[in-house]
Amino acid sequence: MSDPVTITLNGRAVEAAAGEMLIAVADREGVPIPRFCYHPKLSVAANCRMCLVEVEGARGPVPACATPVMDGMEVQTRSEFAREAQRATMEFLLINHPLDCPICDQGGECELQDLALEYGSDISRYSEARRVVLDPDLGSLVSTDMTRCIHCTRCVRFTEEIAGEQELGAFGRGEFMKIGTYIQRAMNSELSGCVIDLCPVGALNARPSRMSARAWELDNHPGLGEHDGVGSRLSRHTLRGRQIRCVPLVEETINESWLSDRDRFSYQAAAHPDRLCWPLARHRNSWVRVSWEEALDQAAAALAESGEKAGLIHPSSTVEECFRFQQLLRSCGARTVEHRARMSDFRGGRQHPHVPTLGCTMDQLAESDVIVLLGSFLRHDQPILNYRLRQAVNSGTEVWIINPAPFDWNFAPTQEAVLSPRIWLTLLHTIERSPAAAGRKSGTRFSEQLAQRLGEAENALFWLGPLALNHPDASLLYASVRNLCKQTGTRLGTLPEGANAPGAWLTGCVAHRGPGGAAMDGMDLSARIQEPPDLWVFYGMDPACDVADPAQLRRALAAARTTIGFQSFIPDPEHLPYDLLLPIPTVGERSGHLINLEGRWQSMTAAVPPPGEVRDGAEALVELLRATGHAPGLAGASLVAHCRGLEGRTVRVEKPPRSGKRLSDKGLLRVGSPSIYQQDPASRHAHALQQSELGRDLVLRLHPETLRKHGLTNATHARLSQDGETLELPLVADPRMPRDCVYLVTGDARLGLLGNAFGEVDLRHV
Amino acid sequence: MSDILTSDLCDRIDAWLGRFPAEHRRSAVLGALREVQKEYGHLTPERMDAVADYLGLPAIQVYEVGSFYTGFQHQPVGRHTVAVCTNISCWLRGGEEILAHIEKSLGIRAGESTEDGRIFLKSEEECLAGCCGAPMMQVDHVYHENLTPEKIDKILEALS
Repeated sequence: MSDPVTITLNGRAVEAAAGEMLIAVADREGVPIPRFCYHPKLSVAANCRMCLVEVEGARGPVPACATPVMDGMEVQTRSEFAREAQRATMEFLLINHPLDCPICDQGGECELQDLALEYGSDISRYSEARRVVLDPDLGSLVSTDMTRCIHCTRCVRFTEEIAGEQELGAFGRGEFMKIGTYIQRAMNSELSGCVIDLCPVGALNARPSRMSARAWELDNHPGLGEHDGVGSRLSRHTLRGRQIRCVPLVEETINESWLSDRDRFSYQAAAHPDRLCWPLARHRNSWVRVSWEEALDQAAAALAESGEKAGLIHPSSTVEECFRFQQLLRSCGARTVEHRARMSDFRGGRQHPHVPTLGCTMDQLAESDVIVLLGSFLRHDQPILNYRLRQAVNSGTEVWIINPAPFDWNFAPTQEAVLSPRIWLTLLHTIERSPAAAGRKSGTRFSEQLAQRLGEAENALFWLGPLALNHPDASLLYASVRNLCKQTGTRLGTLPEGANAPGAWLTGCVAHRGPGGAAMDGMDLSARIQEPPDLWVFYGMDPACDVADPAQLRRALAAARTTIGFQSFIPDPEHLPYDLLLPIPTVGERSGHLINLEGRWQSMTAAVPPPGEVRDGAEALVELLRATGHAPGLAGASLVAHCRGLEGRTVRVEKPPRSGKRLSDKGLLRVGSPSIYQQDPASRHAHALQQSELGRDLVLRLHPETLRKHGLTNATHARLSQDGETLELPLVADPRMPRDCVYLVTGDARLGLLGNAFGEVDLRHV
Repeated sequence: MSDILTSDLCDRIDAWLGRFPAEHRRSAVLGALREVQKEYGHLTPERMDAVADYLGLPAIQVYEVGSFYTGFQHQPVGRHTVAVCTNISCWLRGGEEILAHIEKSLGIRAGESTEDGRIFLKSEEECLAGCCGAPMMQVDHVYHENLTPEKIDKILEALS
């Protein structure tokens, strides 16, 4: 494949690798060839025929996308012969394409429109009946106008080759061919929005922004994905200070040219009717609007008067916000500053390295021989990272998965062990002690096989996902995995939630470590909940959803004198007793830095100004710091320089605990993590995401035998009780579930105040 | 095995699978759908789902094949399939008159089935590669050539 050849492209000698497609060579050389179906990241279909070119000696025009270059090939892309072929193709494509550009969202950025300008005729010679295609309903994210479709099949190939699950197909033949789903069903890929970018015409468009702006009116603001540790590059398109839509920017080392639906459509949260637009103070059971000055005075007074204080910040907050948050809280004497609010085991607080990472860059994933994933539905936790992992699998990387419930992977894991979280620790100990890990004989059990693979693999990686990090025995799991990795020369990576968990660690938003990892005499969150403080501060997170145990936190909040929330959305006043709400920006309105799980610093600037009196969060924290009588120091750029300087510090990593298992073996264990659109307040307030297939269902998944034991074999619903809260939920029997577990997502406001995500629950007849 | 794919059907699909390398199960879609149609007369999404399950393919790939070939029926049709060629050789030798004769004598149009569920007259068929015996038609995969109205009446009458 890599032998160099020389071809003549429009009379110019050009070097290429043998076997490369002509169109790829032309693209590299800057020679334009019109095309619709070709896409460099998809397989070659050669069905639109728009890229026909003239090749000396060929019997007719040849498609440049499906013609490998050969030494001495002479190619003309602009000869009369080639152009005649291209014009003829265009004439066919336009036969059935409606002339509705003035009302088409694609108008102005349409590949067909652009090429028709050059290759199309003014008048159609076709006067017979044209086809009309009924539009399938693909769900809340992708709109369809299938009469406009030219059957390039980019969307079909995307779902099969990139999203990993073919959801769209081409049905019928000839003039009756249609792109769709055949039976009525919505798309449920976490990357479905990418078909909007790929569609070269206006057949597939963004449903949330349908008919809301013309492409040429939009301003373009580079930004970042603000929901996961990938930090996808994207562009926010705005119109007169309003976010209209969001598209990916090409960054081959991060998101390539794709974008998760969560990053693409979460901008809708900014226009949610429940936006918090000005400071609010509680007056009896309602909110009263107050000025920033009043609010800051009130907050400063509460901070000064209170005894013990605790602050929780969402791990998607920027480096600047995290630094200022812990600075404010610690200046006021708080001993509990934490961003890992879904965690419940804080033992061995200083056993973790300074800043969490993947253990490698995303580009290096494909170099790994074996990747072990413990406790994550990666497709939903970090969609683009899962895509990159899938690409690695396609190039030969083995992926071993240990999860508490089966999951719909879009690649074939080498092995997937669905095991109760109660036996994870035992499993890890078995692997650790297995002689196979030291390269000796191996058995056929999962643990022995995995031990052997880790022992013999040159380049292995062990990932701890959110379900492992938030496990009631997380510290013991971590200690065991750390030891196993040391024994077998495996790199250890973690997959914490949020867009800036590394930044939160670096700036010291953890109880036991200050900025740069400085040892702190902190009080961890679980101890703090047992011994409730006078004052709580919540920043960018919902205490009813973004915590390990909403019921327990609710009780701790009831004991507090003051609760202050830096929030973007107005919470239900009945639900959580805030005393003061300070408005902060949400998706697309924030400026600052995020550090992704590779350790890559990326900056973003607000695409639109926030509504009402919303202030930049870090600035609001500085104001409050001043109001409490402390000097903030480190203005603007020097704060960033200071935080970057924290990276190089040497941090003492302590020996982790090895005993003291907490997770009990009794009863039915609830287990779960937040579903894809319930991981942060912004996603929860993005309407289209909540309406989508992945955003909706709340179900209890159990083994049929467990259902039988509870007398629920034929039941469709059951009553689940935990910590005094009872909910009626639909049942799904799943023979791959562990028998002592019920899987139920967390982070969903519809769950009310159910207790810990890993707690014992009671299941009864409705 | 499922309610739809009886053990006999599974055996027949396995025979198709046996003709292709083990990793190319998708190659057996066409054969499997033919077996299912032979059994039930027409395809439904549920029957195609069963084939997809059996072959381990996404259902959509089976729908694609099932909707592409005009040989597959998606509505209930008559027991016997009659396909009359009207492509060029047959057309020159009176294929269209043959079709018109059948339509008249059965009282149905091309693409319809007789009310008694006996005969399904397919939509106009393209060349069936029987030009030397034009005009021709195919009845349940059997070719009948050099047709005349009398000959046709006999053939149709013989269908139970």
